[in-house]
Amino acid sequence: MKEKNNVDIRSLMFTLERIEKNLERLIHYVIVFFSVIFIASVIYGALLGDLIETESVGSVMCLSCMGLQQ
Amino acid sequence: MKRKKRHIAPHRIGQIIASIITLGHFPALWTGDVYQGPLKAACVPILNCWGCPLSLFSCPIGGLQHFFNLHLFPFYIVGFFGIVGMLVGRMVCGWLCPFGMLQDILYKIKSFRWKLPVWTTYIKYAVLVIVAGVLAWITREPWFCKACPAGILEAGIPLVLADKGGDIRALVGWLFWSKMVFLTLVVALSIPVKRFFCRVFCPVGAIYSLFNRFSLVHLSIEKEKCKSPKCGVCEAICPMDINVYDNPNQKECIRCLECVYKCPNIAVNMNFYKPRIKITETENA
Repeated sequence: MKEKNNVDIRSLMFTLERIEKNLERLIHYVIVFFSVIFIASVIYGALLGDLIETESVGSVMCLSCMGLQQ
Repeated sequence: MKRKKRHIAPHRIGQIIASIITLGHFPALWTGDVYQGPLKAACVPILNCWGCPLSLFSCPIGGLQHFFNLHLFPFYIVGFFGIVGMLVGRMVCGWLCPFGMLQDILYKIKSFRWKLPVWTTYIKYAVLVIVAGVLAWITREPWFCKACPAGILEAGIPLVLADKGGDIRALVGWLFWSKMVFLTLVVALSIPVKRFFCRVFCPVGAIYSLFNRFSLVHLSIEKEKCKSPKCGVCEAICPMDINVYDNPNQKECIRCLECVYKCPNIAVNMNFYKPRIKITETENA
């Protein structure tokens, strides 16, 4: 009986370890997946002209930023 | 009595260098003109007012709102935030942000200390979604810029003070004074509260905090190295008041690494996520 319990506990620990390992692996896949998405987003934005738009809006005196009104 | 040896923390050096680089348009000191070069196409990963004459780069939150004002999806800025967040999480808040550095300095002033209730740290998500997102989209106005204390500090006050012709001073109205009141409030509360603005209002911090658990750079704690009962040094020195022992990668952690350097038991470490593909012995058994 005692031996059977030990086997059960060992098998439970083994399962938990596997779950933990798989979760860790899943996190890595999620990190890689989202990194690719974000890099693609920057490239797509640059192709759409986001950089030019950012440059042009950043080069004018922003009245809102300064708290000024016309 | 021996004098305490003083040294500059590495993250402080990072903040100083980042401030010099981001606010590096020095000709503006005598011309007063805003920089209009190709560097403005690039955003910095921190709150950096692009209306400041010294600013060389663009503000990501200003850019985000600008695209929302135009009813366009900001692919470039979202991707930029994502890449930085995936790499380092909120580390940029601790190592690069000049406004964060100002708050760190203000907290060094001796006064009574006040610990913020945890619910206040959720306000910044509302600021991000409602003020910098929904309101900017609906009204086509950059509402966060209209309140931003970094904007009035870096752009508003210097330009109004340097204005010789009186053209800019003529535009000073209720908005300027309301921003001044908010800036005063933030400065006053940064003396008794650690990093008040970063924890309660900063939308940049709100974005990066979402990545803290998954970012490549993260902290780990070897609990077996901690002496029992725990010494509490990491929690006492943390500029964000987080419980390092229980969860070193909380959303509020700015990875300033003060806990890593000052842990007397070398129990807190900075790590990079490494894929663990090798099958261990237990798995083979």
